[in-house]
Amino acid sequence: MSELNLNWLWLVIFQLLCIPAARAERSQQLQFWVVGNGIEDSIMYRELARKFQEQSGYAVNITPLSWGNFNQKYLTSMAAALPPDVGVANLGSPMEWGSLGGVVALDQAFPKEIDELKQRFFPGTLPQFTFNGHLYGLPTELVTAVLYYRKDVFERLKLTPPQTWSELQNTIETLEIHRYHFHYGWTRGEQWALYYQTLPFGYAGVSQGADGQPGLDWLQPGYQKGVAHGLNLWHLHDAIGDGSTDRTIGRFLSDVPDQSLGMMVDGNWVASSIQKIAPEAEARWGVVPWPKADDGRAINVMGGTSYVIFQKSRNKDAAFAWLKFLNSLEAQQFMILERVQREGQAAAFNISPVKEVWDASQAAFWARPEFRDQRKIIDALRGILDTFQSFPSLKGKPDTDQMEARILDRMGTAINRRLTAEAEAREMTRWDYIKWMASAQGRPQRDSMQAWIRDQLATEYARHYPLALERLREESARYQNSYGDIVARLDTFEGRTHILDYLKWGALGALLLGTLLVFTMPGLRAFRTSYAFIAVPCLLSLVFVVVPMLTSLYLSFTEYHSILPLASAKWIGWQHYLTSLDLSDSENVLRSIGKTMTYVSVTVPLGIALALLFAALLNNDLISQRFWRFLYFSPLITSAVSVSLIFTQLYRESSMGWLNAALLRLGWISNPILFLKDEQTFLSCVMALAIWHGLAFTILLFLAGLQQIPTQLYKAAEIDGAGWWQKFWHVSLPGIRPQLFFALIMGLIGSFQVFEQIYMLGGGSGYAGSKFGPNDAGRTMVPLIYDLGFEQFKMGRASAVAYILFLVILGLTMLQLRVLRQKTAE
Amino acid sequence: MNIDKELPAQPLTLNWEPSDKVWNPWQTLGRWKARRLVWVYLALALAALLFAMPFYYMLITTFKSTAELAHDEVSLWVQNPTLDPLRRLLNGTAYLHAAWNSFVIAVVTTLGNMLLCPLAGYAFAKHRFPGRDRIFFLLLSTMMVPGAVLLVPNFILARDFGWVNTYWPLIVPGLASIFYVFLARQFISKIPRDLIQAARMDGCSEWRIFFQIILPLCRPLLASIGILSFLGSWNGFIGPMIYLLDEDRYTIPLVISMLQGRFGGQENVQMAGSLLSIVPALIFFFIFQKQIVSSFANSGLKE
Repeated sequence: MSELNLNWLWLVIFQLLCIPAARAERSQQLQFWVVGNGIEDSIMYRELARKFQEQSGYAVNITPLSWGNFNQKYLTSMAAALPPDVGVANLGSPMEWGSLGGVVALDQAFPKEIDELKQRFFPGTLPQFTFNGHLYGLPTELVTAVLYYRKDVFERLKLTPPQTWSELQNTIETLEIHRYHFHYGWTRGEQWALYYQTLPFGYAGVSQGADGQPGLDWLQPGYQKGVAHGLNLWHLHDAIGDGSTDRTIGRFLSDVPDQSLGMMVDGNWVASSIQKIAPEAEARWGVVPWPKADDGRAINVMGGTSYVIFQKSRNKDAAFAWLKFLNSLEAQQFMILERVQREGQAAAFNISPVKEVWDASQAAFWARPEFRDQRKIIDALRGILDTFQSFPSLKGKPDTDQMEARILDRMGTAINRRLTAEAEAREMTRWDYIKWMASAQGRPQRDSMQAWIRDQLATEYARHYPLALERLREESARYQNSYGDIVARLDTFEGRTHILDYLKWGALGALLLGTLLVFTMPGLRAFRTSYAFIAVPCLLSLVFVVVPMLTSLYLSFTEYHSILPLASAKWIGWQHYLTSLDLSDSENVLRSIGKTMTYVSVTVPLGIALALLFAALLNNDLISQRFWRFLYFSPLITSAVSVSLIFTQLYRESSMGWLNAALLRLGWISNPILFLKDEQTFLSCVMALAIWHGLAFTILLFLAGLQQIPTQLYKAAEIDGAGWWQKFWHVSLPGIRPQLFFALIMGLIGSFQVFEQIYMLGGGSGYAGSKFGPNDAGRTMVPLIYDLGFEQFKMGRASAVAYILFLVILGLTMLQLRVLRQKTAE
Repeated sequence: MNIDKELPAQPLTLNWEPSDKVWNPWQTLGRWKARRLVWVYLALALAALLFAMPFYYMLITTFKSTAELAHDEVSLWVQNPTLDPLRRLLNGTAYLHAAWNSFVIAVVTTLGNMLLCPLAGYAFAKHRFPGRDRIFFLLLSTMMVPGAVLLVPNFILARDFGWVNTYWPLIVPGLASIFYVFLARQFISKIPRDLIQAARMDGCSEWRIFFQIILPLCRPLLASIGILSFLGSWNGFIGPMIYLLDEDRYTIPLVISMLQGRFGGQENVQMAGSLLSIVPALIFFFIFQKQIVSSFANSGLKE
């Protein structure tokens, strides 16, 4: 091929990259995304899809999502106009997405059939999916809590199953006096305390006032009492043991051997716990619904999942048919049966929101032998199904929920610190101290502790209430001002050109002009080969750095939700920058920069120092050198995600976690450290993991450098009488200067970008609370940008934060350069 | 450093096998040597425990049954090894599919970098053309833009291109990383100009000079670029998480992160997933260790 042709080919191929590639095509199957409990749910839905195909002829393709990132996946797919046809989400999502025009208003799209469908459900479950009079989703399963109690234990202690909160409190006190202690399960995390304790108090956290203005329950004495109850239960009754493999919410276990389990707080879905924990005592168990508030109020739907149909679905009729099929008696019964029959821990008993399932006519179904173990819970639930009610949905609730989760995270850290300190002052372990507080002598101590918790909580709530209320109202208003109008006229925005489109055309024009210049100007034509050689990096930098930087700059001055068309971005000036720098704001960027700086200033120097040490050690004549080096280099090739998963398990807070077990065994600590649950240790855990993970690369680099240093230099130094330290300082270090510099640069770049480790280690927090560790202790810059941009989809705000980060890094680099230049000048 | 200039040309091969040419701070202490080495071994072994412990944990947890995990105590050994977690992983997730996806993305990105970066590096190092230094400086300055700043706008760009849920946004922007262009320029500028001049005299085209003279001399550089960009792409997480939607397009880190469910009880499956993602790379690394280390020693990491 001639040289000219090759040049042309290069330029043409890579300019083609600028032109939008063909849209990602999906197959014609109905796409169905499921956020559920993992592998088994997908298998179940596949079976249902097979049945559906036999009936209707439509094929359904099932994609599982995890609870950790389903929100991001759905929103991304809506933003890219590539959503599935039908999706399973949590209870809050349908309203949230529907109000942004992302999912279909079922009553508008299917006016004829919707009434029949609505009739199928318990009426109290639907308001949550309704916004501005439209219904955006349907429930698929509901979650509530129940109490299991042992009849013989209760008889002996003269207890009756608690019906209200005061009764529950008395029951717990009596149980504890008789040496039953609370061991919690997977719900460790303060936001669960909120979910399971306060809702039954009859408060939902937010409420809509008579004037239509949203309000917060935070200052209600009853509400605070409920939260304090939750915190007490979660912390002052906290017994040793690791609940992370336990699917119950919590258990009251006796330390008297033969009377093991007295009472159990449990989700409705844990179908087989009793059989597993105490098979011999099966007949002695009773089940009652979760207690109501003392005044009889009950909001007993604590969570669940829902179905939505997406606006961009091209097959809405088939989607609706699938949705109807899933809510049919046949499908619901199949799901209940299938889940009950799963093996071991995967078994679950879910509450169908479809009335007919629970109808007396279905007695034959419930009489099946598969429900032998569930009979009691079914009877208990039957009594409350008609009153099933979920909390109302309000714009801005996710924001106040986040703020509240942070308050509770801080409370959790403070309580645990105080507990540890008081226990150590009495030379007890934390667990013994908690047990002692449950006994008669310890009661006054516990009362004072509880009073302290109540006071702290009241202070915290009072401090954050004004801002939270403002945020809630702002968010409601923001919806009306910014989005409501856009959603109403959505089609007028579609396809409209936007200033950013001109930017793209401008970039393309500049490229074409550049190419044209190179080939026509005689002065440049001679160098066309050179230009062709550098064409790709230049092009990529222009398209994927320069254009995005300008886009980002523009967006940072706008209010923009990426589900909506770009034309709907609204200019709001400096507002995002001001809010980001506002110290009272929980998403304040300076705090994140501070955390990033802490992270960088610990991991980079420590990583380099340790790597130097190990590189010097490995640079010896060792037997089986290959083995040693392999050992030390192996973290290099492992992904941050895998490593973080391993460390999450090593960091577990009970004696089950290897790290705590080792420290306890060595006698260095007397209480397990709550590594990932304490906001003050979380970031250190991330840093330790990052150093461990990054060390291999730096050792490799330094070792390679050390081996390049000629031996003559050392010999010369020896002749001059240098010791090993002097040789290290004056010969080795200067000798690996390039490597040191390289490691420093790579380390800095990498550390500023830390994300995976924090995302994975913080992953245990769940959807409701902080995503990046307790009280978002690990929310450094990238997590903050990710959270704003791809969880909350506030693209404008995320861009503003990104720009602030950019300016900070730029400033630091300039400073560094100046210092370096001065040093060289000296 | 001045020292560099005073020295004769450095050997281009790494002294892998122990030899007296390698300086050893302990060796020089003569009769103390043996005792010193004991300390070295001891320090290395202790630290190795810390290094290997997470891997060991992963290995044994992979073969533990769910029932065994539920026991409330630490055990350093597997009582009843089972393949059940591995089976659940392979049956229940699109793991093998994801491995293929990761592989495709990583290989394309790596090949792109291995070809395009030396090409540009060569032009910047050995060609003279108007605006060369200015363009190079501009390119270098784009390196100061942290990737996080580009997350949002690149997403919007990818959306406009119709690239969401495709591999393009994971491949194309990183096809010619400026950092590797920089490394390549540093490396290639050390190649004697005479070689290139001689080839030009013989009438070689620039393309032939690049492919037949420059590239073969760049082997250590290519190895470094290859390893770094392959690992970066293979282990990448935030990009695939943002851009990939369908499970059959997921990459390995994404599939593994999904194993972290809402409840516990899947620890063994999580570890099985980690194990499978690491082992092929570990084996590869064990075999080619020597080449990898020497490539780092000889690539453009010199001033």
